[in-house]
Amino acid sequence: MTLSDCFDRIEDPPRTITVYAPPPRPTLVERLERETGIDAVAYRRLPEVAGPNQGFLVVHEGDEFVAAIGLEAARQFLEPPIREPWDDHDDPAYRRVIETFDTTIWHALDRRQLLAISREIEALAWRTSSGTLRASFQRASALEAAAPVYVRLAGETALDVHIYIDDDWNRPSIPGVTIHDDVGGEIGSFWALAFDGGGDRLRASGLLAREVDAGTFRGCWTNDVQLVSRLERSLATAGE
Amino acid sequence: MTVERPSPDDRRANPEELDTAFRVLRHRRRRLACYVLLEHETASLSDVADAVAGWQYATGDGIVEPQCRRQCYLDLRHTHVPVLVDAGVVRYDEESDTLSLVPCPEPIRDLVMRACAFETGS
Repeated sequence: MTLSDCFDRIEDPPRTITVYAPPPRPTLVERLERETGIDAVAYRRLPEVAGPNQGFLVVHEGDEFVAAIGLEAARQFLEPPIREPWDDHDDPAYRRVIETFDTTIWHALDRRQLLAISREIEALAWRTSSGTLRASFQRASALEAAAPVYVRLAGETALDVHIYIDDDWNRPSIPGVTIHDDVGGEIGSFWALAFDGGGDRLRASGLLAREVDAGTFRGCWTNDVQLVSRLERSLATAGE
Repeated sequence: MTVERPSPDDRRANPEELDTAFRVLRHRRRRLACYVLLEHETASLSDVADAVAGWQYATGDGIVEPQCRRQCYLDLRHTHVPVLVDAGVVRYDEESDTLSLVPCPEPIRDLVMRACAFETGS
């Protein structure tokens, strides 16, 4: 199965977002409409006398309530801080926003958002310290930038780390990391990451996004164990 | 041409109405439900529960989980909405499962608006 096949088989759940805030309509509404790929983004007014910091959004899946999220947490999610996988800083709100949009296909993710989500998956792998982590890089230069993270992930855990890159890798090898270089095919147009959970199905986690414009990706992250498993197979096949 | 203005008596709440209003608005969830209804002529109980739970717990960087929202819905349905209906502040249409502030006397609506500004304003 190719990464494209894997991508095409993702079925995103029918989610809706309702943003509650006092007028004027927050610009976040347009951003969510444009970037999430969720068709039903609605705005409902709170009284004008309420303060501008009083907004929140509500996510439904069909008729089911999924979560209500403060607009500050939602904005932080769209412009996330980048942390190291071993960073102890706990940000439950950010993690919960990621969970809320599990398997939702976003139409416009930028590199910063993808990096922040990748770091969440790498942090989960770091804490689990076992299992297999697979990551793709579009270019050798991108892997070079991330190399310190992978040196530590492979060096200080029992993780089996596989990296797939479109280019040749003619830099020194990274101890504990199997680099599959010159993979070609589709790897250059995807940002993919898969962690098998290290034997714990609840920790399986993946990210798959396709570059649709320079620096703009369409994709999703997921904790769906079957989807993660398909993603792992696609990456493993690409590296053969 | 003279513009008809409400006489002071029309704008003034009678003491019994005020007693009732302060009694029912003493609970935060009831106030929040009324604040939501200030902006929406009618709203389903489910939507009001979403908004009350979100407003109470999610503003800023908070998150509301389904269990918390469900508790809020049940509290509204079984406790707070009946109190608001009995007090004549809110109408609940069982058939459409919707709430509205239509029966709320003007001075009480004004009180709700002022409370909203005091409680949630910047």
